[in-house]
Amino acid sequence: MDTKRLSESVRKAFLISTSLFSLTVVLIALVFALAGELIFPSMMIRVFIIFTVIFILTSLKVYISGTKSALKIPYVVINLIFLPFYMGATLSGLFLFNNELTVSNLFVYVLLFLATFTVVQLISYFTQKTKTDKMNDALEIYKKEHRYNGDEE
Amino acid sequence: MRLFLKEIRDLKETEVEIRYKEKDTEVENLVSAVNSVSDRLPAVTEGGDNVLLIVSKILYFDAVDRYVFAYSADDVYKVRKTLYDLEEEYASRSFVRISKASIVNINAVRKISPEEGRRLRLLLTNGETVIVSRGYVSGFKTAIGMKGDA
Repeated sequence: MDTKRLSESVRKAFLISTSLFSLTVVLIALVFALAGELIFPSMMIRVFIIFTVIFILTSLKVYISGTKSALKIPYVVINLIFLPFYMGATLSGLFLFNNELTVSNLFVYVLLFLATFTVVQLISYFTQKTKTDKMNDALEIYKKEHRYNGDEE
Repeated sequence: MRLFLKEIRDLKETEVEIRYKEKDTEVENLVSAVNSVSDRLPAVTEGGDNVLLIVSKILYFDAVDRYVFAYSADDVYKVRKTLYDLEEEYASRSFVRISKASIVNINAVRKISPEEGRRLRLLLTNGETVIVSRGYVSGFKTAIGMKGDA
């Protein structure tokens, strides 16, 4: 295991997770303030647990994304491989210590999560792919104009 | 063989054009002579031997800790120059900065594909992959002849 790359992955994942955690806390606070209710301590514990798991998953994902074999496949595939794990972390966090949510609710949440995540990932990937296709065309033209070593014309 | 020398003040760098009827030994010697002047970079092999690298054969430069390494298709060499110097020196030779620590030879890029976080993934001719950081995407696009913000 490449320890340097691992520490870099952990650093990146920490930045991502803490930013998202802060944003989530602010959003929860806003929602509860607007509703005029107090935030339950158990909810904050749940959010903390969710983001701790997300931090571990993200560290792993960033590390794996940098491996030679992962670089041979589109990044969206890695994201989709990690999708069930992120979903598991988020949903188990939501359902932990929460008696109001039922199995039918869980089914709806799973479907919603899967659909949103997959669609967003695919749209984002194919939008970028269109741009890089244009870049590949420009690259070909560039190579024709600037041949290696100014060789033969 | 006739030799012509022409001063053109507008040129950004010296150009050499060799006109020949047939590519014989004399022409090849001339090409190597020109190359030996303009296309060589002193470097050190992993074994510690001093060599002169053909710049156009370098796929990319990478800075690791305080050292700069040049990667060819099969080997890695230590270079005694800073990335900044290399970037300045070889900008006109199809080399472009792609991250804080790397410079790539555009001619060695086989394919460009998207990477997460608005970055780019470059597949090189030897099968290796390098990443263009978000901050350098615009510069890379300009270097290959596209508008940077397109």
